[in-house]
Amino acid sequence: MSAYVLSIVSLVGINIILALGLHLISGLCGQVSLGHAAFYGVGAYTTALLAKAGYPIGLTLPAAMAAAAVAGFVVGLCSLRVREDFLAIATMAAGFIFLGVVKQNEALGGEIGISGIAMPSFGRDGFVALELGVTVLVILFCLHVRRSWLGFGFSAVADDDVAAQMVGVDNRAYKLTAFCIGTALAGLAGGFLAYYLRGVSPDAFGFTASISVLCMVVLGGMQSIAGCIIATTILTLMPEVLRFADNYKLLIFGALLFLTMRFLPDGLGGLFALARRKEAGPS
Amino acid sequence: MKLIWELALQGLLNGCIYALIAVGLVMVYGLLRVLHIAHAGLFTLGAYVSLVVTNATGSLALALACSVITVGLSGIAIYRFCYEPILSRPPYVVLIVSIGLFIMMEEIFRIVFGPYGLSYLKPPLQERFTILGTGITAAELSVVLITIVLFATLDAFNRFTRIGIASRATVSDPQMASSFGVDIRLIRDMTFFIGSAFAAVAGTMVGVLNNLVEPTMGSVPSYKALAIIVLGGMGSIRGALASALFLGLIEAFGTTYLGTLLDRDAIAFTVLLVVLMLRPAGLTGKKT
Amino acid sequence: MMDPKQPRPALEVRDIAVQFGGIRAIDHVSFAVGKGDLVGLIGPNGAGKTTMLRVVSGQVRPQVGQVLLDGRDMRGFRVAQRARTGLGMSNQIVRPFRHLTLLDNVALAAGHDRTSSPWVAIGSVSRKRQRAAAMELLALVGIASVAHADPRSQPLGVLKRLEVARALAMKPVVLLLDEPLAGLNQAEAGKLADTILELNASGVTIVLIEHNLAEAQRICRRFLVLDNGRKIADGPVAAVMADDAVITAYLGEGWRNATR
Ligand SMILES: Nc1ncnc2c1ncn2[C@@H]1O[C@H](COP(=O)(O)OP(=O)(O)OP(=O)(O)O)[C@@H](O)[C@H]1O
Ligand SMILES: [Mg+2]
Repeated sequence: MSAYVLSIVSLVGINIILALGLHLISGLCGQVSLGHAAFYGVGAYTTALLAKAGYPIGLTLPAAMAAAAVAGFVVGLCSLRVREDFLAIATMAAGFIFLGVVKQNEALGGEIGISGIAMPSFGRDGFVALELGVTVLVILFCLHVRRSWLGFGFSAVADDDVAAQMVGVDNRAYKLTAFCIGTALAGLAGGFLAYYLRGVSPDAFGFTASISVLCMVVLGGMQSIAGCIIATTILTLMPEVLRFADNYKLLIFGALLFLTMRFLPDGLGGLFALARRKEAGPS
Repeated sequence: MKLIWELALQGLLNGCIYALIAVGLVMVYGLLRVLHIAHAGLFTLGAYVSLVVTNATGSLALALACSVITVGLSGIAIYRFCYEPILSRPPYVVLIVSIGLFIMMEEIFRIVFGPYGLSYLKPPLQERFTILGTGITAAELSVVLITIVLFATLDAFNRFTRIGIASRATVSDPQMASSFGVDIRLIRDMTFFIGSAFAAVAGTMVGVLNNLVEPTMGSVPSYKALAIIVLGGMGSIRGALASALFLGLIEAFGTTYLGTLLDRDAIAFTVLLVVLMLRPAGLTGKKT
Repeated sequence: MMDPKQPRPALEVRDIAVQFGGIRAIDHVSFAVGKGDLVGLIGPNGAGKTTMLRVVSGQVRPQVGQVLLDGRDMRGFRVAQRARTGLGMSNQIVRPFRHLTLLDNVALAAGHDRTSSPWVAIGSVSRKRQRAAAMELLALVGIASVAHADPRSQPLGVLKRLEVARALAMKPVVLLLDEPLAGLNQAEAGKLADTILELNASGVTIVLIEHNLAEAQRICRRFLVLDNGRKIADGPVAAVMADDAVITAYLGEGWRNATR
């Protein structure tokens, strides 16, 4: 495979991990977050700092996940105090605060960020293989969560968190769990991104990035893991495919979001469900 | 002392602009529970219409009128074609539609008017006054006066006219209002018109203040205004005015005294988070 | 048998007061429900019955007062914890999980040992046993035929019974039912009332809020009457139904003296 293809493929993998993290929080557990990119950033910066300090990838990635999960836990605690729309705004606030802290902090490279991260010792191909392997594991993990009683509980909390409590589901514990797992995945994706780009800079983790991830999840249909993966792949490849129409790239992106949600509010997942029903025969 | 006055003035100005932008979002949110991000695109549209008309005719007043009408009608069109058909969907669906629309609007402005922004040929309202020892331009003074007049009018409208009262009733209980014969669709159209008109005024004034109208000028208001409606307790117009001014002042003083720790957005959102933790329903919101 | 000295009530509320803005929804009400009792909590619209149930279940925090479940003060217990200590509840305004089938609505409750904590929950997948249990409960309340349906497509009568089945799946010691018979036709209501009576006979303590006084009189042993947030009567069904204050609350002033 050419270097170009490899690089695109690994970016798709990173975005899938990132989007599945948000899928757990917003899709399965129903807590819409507008600040997911901040946790992506926490993971990336943690990895960048540790990698620069000479620690191996076997340590930096778990540390990235842990750091992001701790941040996610704190934001999750805040989320317990506020209602739905407030939650979206509170997570957005968390994203801006992260960005503000990073940009003003010289130890984190300020506006410029951190560069010069070395590829792991096993080289670029090995890195891509590792990353894709982990992506597959993350997909399997998310499928398991959905099938398990944890996913069952999440769907109850997403639907009606008082009724969930009436059947003994402790909505707070479940929301916090969703936040921790989802943000840990974002941290993992951020860790991979730091190696992929050989550096980090604050712009990659701003509000726009949070919105793009949310778009991947919503476009995928909120409930559907397959939809989420496909939507992520499409949205990641789109800038490459639309290279010829560079001036209209963002316009097309906006139109895609607008038209899909306006005319297909259940997203790709809804489309699959429709197809399945058609297949099953008219009734 | 001089610095404090200047900061206060700066904060007040920003607060007024925030308030003019946020009021539309607040009204829409109160009525439909929709986070109407594309509102920031209408703000930019308002700035462009005013600039183009002023440069063509030389009259800012005429331009403002054109801007208010164009943007107000665009607001209604957005409601009718983009939101109304999907109102029964979960809120995030409408949110993404709105974001998509906002991105499209920004891109269209960039493609039509160019990426670098436009300026007034003859910048209006540049006369300078001195009040309380602080220099102030006519443009800055107009922002404050316009905000006061518009908010007072809106408040009176909501309290003393039938349609205003009906619209408040629609906010608190649409079904009840509709069974008393209130035309819900008319109320919604009107809400979008008024809210968007306010955004047009805000856009025009920002364009005049900076003598620059850029395709991306709506991106900061797009998220900052959300913070304001949360601070104000979601759906309360007076709360929005109060929290817009509060935020404007906090940002002005915060960037000066805390600028080395956090940037402007982070200061605003830290305050937002602290307020939310202490009062989960917003500054002026009732506890539920 | 029972402790002869002082049998501890299954549920006791002491001096509960709830205020919503200017409305005093509950005005210092106390009562106790003995183990194995079947009490009808009745009263006209707006009396505060649902609010009382929401206080007991932990959805509304009273300004003053205590709720004791089997002698244990429930202060600081959230709804989920109360549900796990044996408090089953069905809502007047139905709130099914809309994205789950009727069967899974009940199966989720039946698996409350699986969902006790996220750690336990992530470790188990099979829903077979809980679905079987849920199916039995749906059959018990008479809606097994629509087990695989989407709750959004079902009429109120079915969803009301779904509420009851879901509450039962929690294996409650004390069961709070808020107008379970509303929306059911006469035959269905009679059958569900019989089921409630059987449950009570099997040892579940039940507090039944009902406007269907005919069925409530038939199955309850005791009535507790609220009016305007106050307790106006408490005692055996026949005595309460003959009580002047109760008649006035339901039928209005002057019923006694009016000519036939
Ligand atoms: N969340 C609330 N906020 C404000 N007022 C409330 C709230 N819940 C109940 N009330 C008021 O408290 C009073 C008691 O209401 P409640 O629902 O407990 O009555 P109820 O006895 O269950 O009536 P019904 O038989 O109609 O169900 C009513 O006046 C009601 O309007
Ligand atoms: Mg009631």
